[in-house]
Amino acid sequence: MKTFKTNNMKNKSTNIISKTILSLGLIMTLFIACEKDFLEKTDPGTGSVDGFYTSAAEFALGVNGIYGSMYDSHYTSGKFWGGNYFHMVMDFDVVSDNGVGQGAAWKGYSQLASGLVTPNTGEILHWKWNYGFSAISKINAMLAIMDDVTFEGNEAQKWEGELRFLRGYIYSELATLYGGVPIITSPISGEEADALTRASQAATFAQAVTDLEYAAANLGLDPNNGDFGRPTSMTANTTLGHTHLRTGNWAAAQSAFAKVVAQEGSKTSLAPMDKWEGLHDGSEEYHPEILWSMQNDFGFESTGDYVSYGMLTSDGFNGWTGIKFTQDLLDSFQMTDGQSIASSSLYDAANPYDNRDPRLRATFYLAGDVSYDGTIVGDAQFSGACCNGDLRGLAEYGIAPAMARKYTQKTDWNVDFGGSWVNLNVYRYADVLLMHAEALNEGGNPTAAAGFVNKVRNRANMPDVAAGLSQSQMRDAILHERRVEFALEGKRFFDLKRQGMLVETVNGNRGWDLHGGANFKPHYVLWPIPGPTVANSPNIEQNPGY
Amino acid sequence: MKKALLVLMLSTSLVFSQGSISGSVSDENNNPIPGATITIAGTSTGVVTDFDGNYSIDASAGDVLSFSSLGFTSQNVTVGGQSQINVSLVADIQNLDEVVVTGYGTQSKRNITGSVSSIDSDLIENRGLTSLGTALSGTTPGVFVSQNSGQPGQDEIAITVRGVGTINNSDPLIIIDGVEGDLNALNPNDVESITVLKDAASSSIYGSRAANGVVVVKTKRGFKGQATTLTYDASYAISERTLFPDVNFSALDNANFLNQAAANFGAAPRFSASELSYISGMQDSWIQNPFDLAFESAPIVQHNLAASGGSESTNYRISLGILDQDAITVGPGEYQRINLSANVDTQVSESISMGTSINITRGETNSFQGSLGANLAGAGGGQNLAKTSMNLHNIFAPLYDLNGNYAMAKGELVKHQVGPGSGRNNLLAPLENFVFNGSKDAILANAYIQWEPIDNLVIKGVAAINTFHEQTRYFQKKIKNYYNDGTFYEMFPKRQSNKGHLEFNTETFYLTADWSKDLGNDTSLNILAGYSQEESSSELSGAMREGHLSDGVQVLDAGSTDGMTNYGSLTDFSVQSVFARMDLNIMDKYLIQANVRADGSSRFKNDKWGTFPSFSAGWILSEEDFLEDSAINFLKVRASWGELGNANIGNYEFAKKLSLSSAYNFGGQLAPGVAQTTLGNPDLSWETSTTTNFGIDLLLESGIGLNLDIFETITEDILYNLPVNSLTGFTTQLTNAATIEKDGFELGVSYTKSFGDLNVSIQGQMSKAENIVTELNPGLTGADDRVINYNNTTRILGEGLPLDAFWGLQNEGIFRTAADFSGAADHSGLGGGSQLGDLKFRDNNGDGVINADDATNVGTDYPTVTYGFNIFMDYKNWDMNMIWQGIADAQYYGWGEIWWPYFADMVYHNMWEDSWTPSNPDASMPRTWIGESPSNMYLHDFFIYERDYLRLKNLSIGYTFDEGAVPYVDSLRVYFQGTNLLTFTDFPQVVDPESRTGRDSSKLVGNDYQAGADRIILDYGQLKTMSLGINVKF
Repeated sequence: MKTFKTNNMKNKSTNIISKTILSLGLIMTLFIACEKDFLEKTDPGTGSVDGFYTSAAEFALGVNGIYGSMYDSHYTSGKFWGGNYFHMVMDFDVVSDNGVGQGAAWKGYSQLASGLVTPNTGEILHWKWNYGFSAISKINAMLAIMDDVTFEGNEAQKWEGELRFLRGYIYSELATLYGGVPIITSPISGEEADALTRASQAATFAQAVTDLEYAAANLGLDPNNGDFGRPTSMTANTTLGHTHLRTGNWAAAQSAFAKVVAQEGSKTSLAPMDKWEGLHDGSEEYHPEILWSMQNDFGFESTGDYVSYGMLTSDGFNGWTGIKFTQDLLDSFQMTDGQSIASSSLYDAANPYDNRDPRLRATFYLAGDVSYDGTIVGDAQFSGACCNGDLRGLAEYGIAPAMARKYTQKTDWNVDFGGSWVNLNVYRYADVLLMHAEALNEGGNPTAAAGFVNKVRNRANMPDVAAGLSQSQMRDAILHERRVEFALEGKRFFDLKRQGMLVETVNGNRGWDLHGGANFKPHYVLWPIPGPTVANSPNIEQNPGY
Repeated sequence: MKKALLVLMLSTSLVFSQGSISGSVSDENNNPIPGATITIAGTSTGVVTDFDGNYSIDASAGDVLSFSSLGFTSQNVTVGGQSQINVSLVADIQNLDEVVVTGYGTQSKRNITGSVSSIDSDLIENRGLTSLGTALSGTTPGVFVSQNSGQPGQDEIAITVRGVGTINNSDPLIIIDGVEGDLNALNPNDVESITVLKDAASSSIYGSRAANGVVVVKTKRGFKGQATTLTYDASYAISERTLFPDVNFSALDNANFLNQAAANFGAAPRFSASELSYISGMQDSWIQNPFDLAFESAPIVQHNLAASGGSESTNYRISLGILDQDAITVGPGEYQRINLSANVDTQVSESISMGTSINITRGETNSFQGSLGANLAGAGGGQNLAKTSMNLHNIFAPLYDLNGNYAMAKGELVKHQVGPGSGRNNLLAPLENFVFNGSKDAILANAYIQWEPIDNLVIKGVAAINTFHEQTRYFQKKIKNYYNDGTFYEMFPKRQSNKGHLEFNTETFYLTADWSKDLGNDTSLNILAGYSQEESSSELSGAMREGHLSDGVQVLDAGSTDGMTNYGSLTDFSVQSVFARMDLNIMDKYLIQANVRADGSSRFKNDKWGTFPSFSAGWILSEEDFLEDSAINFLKVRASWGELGNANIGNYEFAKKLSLSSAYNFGGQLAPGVAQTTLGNPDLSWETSTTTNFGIDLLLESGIGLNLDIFETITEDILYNLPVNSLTGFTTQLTNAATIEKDGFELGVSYTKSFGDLNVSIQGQMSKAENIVTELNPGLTGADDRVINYNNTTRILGEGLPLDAFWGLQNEGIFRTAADFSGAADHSGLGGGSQLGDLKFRDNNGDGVINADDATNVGTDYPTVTYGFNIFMDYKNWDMNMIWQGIADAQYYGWGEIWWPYFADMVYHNMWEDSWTPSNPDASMPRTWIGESPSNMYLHDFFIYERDYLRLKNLSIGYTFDEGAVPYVDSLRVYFQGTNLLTFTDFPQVVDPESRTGRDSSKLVGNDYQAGADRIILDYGQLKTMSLGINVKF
């Protein structure tokens, strides 16, 4: 670069060096506030794990955050597409004889029924794993810092009980879905993760039992902080019994369920039949029958799941999923005399839905029903449901002209487009009674089982099961009772799996002919370990068949 | 003028003395050249001409005076006995002596050893540009400008230098008057020049953020001794969309079309015979062409007023610019921008000078969609008008019912849901009632103090602020849509008011010392050293209330406190740097430059600092004796090598971030919660790109010039969210991972010739840049090692593949007859099995079955080749300028909406008229479908379109009145100017070929790339404008 000087302006300083240093110093002082830690910054926006949790109050925040990450798919927050641990859990009913998904590929559930599963199928097949381990890592992180936090009284045991309940619940379900999984009980690094191998399925269930037993012993009959939605000792015993049921440990299952049954009264009870529908539409969602539910609420800050079943609206039908229900499911609801529609004299083919188990009409909207806003269910609603034309024209596929009433909130869905504000029930007391019955029956005592089944039936104003049923007959009776009591709740998949009936039952579901036919392959009984996990984990083996 | 100005900035000791020789400097047309430099060869003495081109200098007989000015060939005159020397300089399109602004200084083009392109105000002014970035389009080799929208105030300009070489943000660094700024904050009329630093050697002085190139902008200044000049420029333009999708708006045709699609798949007709007959009878009373109702042509008015001048010690330029642009959409839609700028330099003492550059901009918009604040809630919301115009229900009802209310077709008639929850409303109801108001106030200002303690040492300190505030406000009115049975629904049952605010602030300080030394023997050394620091923060806040009692009072306070929400966030970063440069010029023949910069960034934890060196050298062969008498006027070869860094990732990516909003409802009570959201990575550090560049600059006596650059860039340690072992509880972790290689060339040719009064200058340029991912996910095993699918598996990152490739099947035409199935692979897995009329695909993996495993690279949407040419002509008082720009080898993936025959209940594109049916077996398009079809199950190349185009970006024709022909003014030019007037392309008439697949322009590629699900960009469209303007000088 050239500089220009006229000759008459040469005016050299006598002390060039000192002047230069002085000027540099001056300008530095003027302009540059030299800070020692100019590049050391801490995030003012989100904070960092390091140094955040110090008090019991902050500890509670960390525990709350685990629930949020297990169950947050609010549509408007964009998390719907990313899924969560309990995402659309009701869709498990399409992997049974209860319903059919909207296409051959939808959220992982449809792929199971239509035979399209690969380790990379994704969605629920990955979410259970990824969000499960994500929650476990958060649980372990909170357990690991407990010693550094000061708690009062027996608070520490209660928080630990809550955390270990959550971990036990997840391990129990992961073992059911995937078989044995790596057992992680403390925070790990990427290297430690790479070294992990899968434990056996038995060892995974055993880990769940250990956690759940601790939780059952340390949690109270009322939830921590009195917050409905946190587990109680009853919740822990329910999950413990459920886990023993999964492993065939009938005596242990009976013992756990009995501890819940012992609390029948003020702590838990069956809702009367006129409140049964309310258990799933938000109006009775804090009833003592509900032992544990995922919590949803109104408004933008709702943690609500997306509406799994589309909702009928005054001028049509709204929602993304087009789950259709099988005629077989509707037909399985007995007549009020306790007989099946095939054998009961009360059945009138011209008025097939008269004199039926009242849970039928409390589970479905049928043609001509009046919905929450006075709409009479008709042409616009039946033809508006996704995705194969008018629901009433699908009899050849065994699809019933019925729409979900259970789990559809009773308000215009546009008010809260973000998702359903109805809580998602995980365990209710009716479930305990019927699981207890199953444990007793499988343990060789069908007579004792009958009492618990009848309790659930009588609540629905249905007569007792026939006296003197054999173990096998009682097994059918329990399975039936669970089917109608928990229809559209996503439990049928697990019931069939426990009874070893999953493959034949799903493949007998004609409704899948809509989407190329049912093709639930035998090896789907264990889900594939997600492809990215196998790819990134040197020592994790894939399940057979994938 | 420019050169003198620059010289003045750097060395303010120039004076206008009464000397022994005086005269004037003019161009070939006898117009005075102000600011021309006159130096006495072999000395450092020099003067500049004043505004009227006059000068005087002390010189003795025998001295050689060198006359030079930007844009003219220098001329030497030996002083004889005369006291007056008038010189006429010849225009030099090659501008070899032009001084271009580079990093922390200036350089003569002749002596540049890196790869640098620049344009000056000739290519910026009088083009009716509404934003500055477009000035580079088609004018600068290696620089590609894409514009994704013509929406007033929201041009969505994306600039890339030499293509894309990283997965992360590939925007170049923008330097305005020495500090980082935003091109949109400037009035194009205030800009003197734009220089683009393309290779590592020229940009490495900017170190860590220069890996994507540097765009250096210099604004206009006055100069000392200049008489006050007042200029006024104004233009009035009419703008309209470049194109509308070629769709069929006939209600009956669309009903029949849907019936055909249903029939193809064995489904019952959507419309019964009686409905078809009803539609046929009614359709004339319904909307005929929604585009006509929703769009209109709109004016753009610009006024620019500037004054500049200077005394012996102080020079200034102040300007005012006003832009008033109407939207081409019906209903509210207006953008107003006011730019104020003031540049002042003053000589405080013999050795100290100070100056400032201040740009203040306020932009205001109201529109039916979005706001200026791209980061704010509601921005970009509202309606995608071209798309909603094509919703089927529009053409099944009139616009208004008999009572003048907004009319709506019923869902039963249209066969899909309309109204609440569907997003489908009366065409104009949201447009006229759902109004965004936005504003952006930006200040870009710096002040410097410069001291020259000794000869040839200049110390300069600069402080700068770059700050802006964006605000957005929108209100949902209660709007009623009426069905034809008299019932109605309200689009927004509750009125709602939203307000958002973004505050962005960057403070920069730097200090440089620049020392030069004449080593004798025509050899000079220049050394620059500096320190710089920058701190930036950005804070977002907003609030919402609803349930307002009236449409008239829209403030937040007027809403209910029930359900009100608010939000706020804050983030920041800092950068600290030291840098140095050494220039050695040996006998004006051998040029050597070395740069080094060390940067530290708060974005990294354990490894904050990166050091980025570069070296370059040039040899001016035309200075050698053996070329002295050749036809070559100038020939230089040059080579450079250097490293650059890139840290264009989010702030605090190293941290184990918490989400403080992981709340959960317990029993209906919201309980706050906290959850770790990222695994963090304390070892993150710089992406490093290494560039090697070779170049030739050639100018022949015949007027033909040529510039060629060949380059290769290897970018390593690209920051990328790698899949991580999910057993950690996380699925990805930001890691220094991938490597991408980019190579290509840029060729510029020019030709300048005068044919009597006709002067012609033609410049052409072509660039090619290709990239390939050479390494991905090192250290990973298994399937993820090589490829990562993203964007719903429509794009892929894979070793050996170009960045961001479309991943899909390759079609082999249509199954036209049963015979086409023989020997074809098994297509039964595609959407229920392929039938006649469906697309046939290639079995790439040879397993006999067509499925996702047959996917391969079927294109990229970033152009490999970009080119452009400019033609300047003037004849007597007339002048003409054309700028053409084109791209080649770029693909577009058209899916959804109107690319497919039936999607989202839109009218159909006319290309589907020729779809396969048994009676039309030779159709150009496959059979139409509803829902899932073998033709749409996977991405494939049938719907990949070449979007090559050549476009006349600018045409201007001007007439300059003779001096004195118009009273009171010094000069007057009137002109016509047009933008995007002509386009040549084979791209289907759906969207403008300048638009890339997807819609987010700022993120070109990568895992953060949110392309609006890859759908068509129809929000606003691009503009074709025609304007008339005047330039007046007083």
